[in-house]
Amino acid sequence: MLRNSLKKTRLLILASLFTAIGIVLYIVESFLPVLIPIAGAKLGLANIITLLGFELFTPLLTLTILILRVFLASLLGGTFLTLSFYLSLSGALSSFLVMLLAYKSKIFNIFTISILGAAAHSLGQILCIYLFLANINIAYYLPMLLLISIPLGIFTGLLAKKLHPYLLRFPK
Amino acid sequence: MNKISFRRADFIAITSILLFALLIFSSIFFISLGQKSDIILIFHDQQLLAELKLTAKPQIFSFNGTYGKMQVTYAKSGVKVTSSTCPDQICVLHSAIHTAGESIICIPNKIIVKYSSR
Repeated sequence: MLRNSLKKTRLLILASLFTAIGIVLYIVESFLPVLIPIAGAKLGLANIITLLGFELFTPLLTLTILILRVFLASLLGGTFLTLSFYLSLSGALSSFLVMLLAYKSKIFNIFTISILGAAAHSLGQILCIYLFLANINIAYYLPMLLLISIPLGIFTGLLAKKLHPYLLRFPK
Repeated sequence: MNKISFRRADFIAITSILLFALLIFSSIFFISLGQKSDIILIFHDQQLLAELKLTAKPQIFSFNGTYGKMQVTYAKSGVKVTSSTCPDQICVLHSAIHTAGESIICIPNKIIVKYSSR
């Protein structure tokens, strides 16, 4: 009984930590200057949290952490219920769905899962912008975003891979 | 997760992303290939705001978007958003557009600057 509640507490603390780290990464990333002048291209550091979440939590808990992160980060950044909030929500949800499927299929390595997530993120965002602006011209940005998602996906995948051994050291 | 190896599925996934990007890029390229363009269209929230004829000498056009003022400098050599009051400035960082089908989009302002062939 005690053992069980300890386990629950540990999970709760880990999930809260992950949410907090996700928000911090998301906000710190927005401070970075735009290095690549491609519309909408960014590092996607907060994606690491989702990647690591698959290893530690159930999919539902990972999704909860992700949605909490999007909501809280937009509240802190002052973009709640604006277009950029919907953009990050649609990107986060589509990348979560694709990465979950890729992770569960067990045929991809961490880099490919991350790349697929990054590609799905831009695809979801483009679809969201299309819903808002109803202009097919937005597809013009897609090839560049998809191309850039490969190096950026490898980068976040590499970070997640490097961080993974440290996570296993958390007291059980 | 400790051992990383690229297997066939990984290559297929990455190659299909590349091919998809190439497909969209080439379809946009081929659609705009035959079109001669000397007009740019500026849309605000799906409504045509202005239709500008391109000349050799650069000209400046100012207008209002959802967020605030924007300024476009246009000439035959290229069209560029030179200033915008939007917070992310992606439209200003965007390089000048030269051919039909290309466009600069400012999401906070809901503005589309499109090189067109009308």
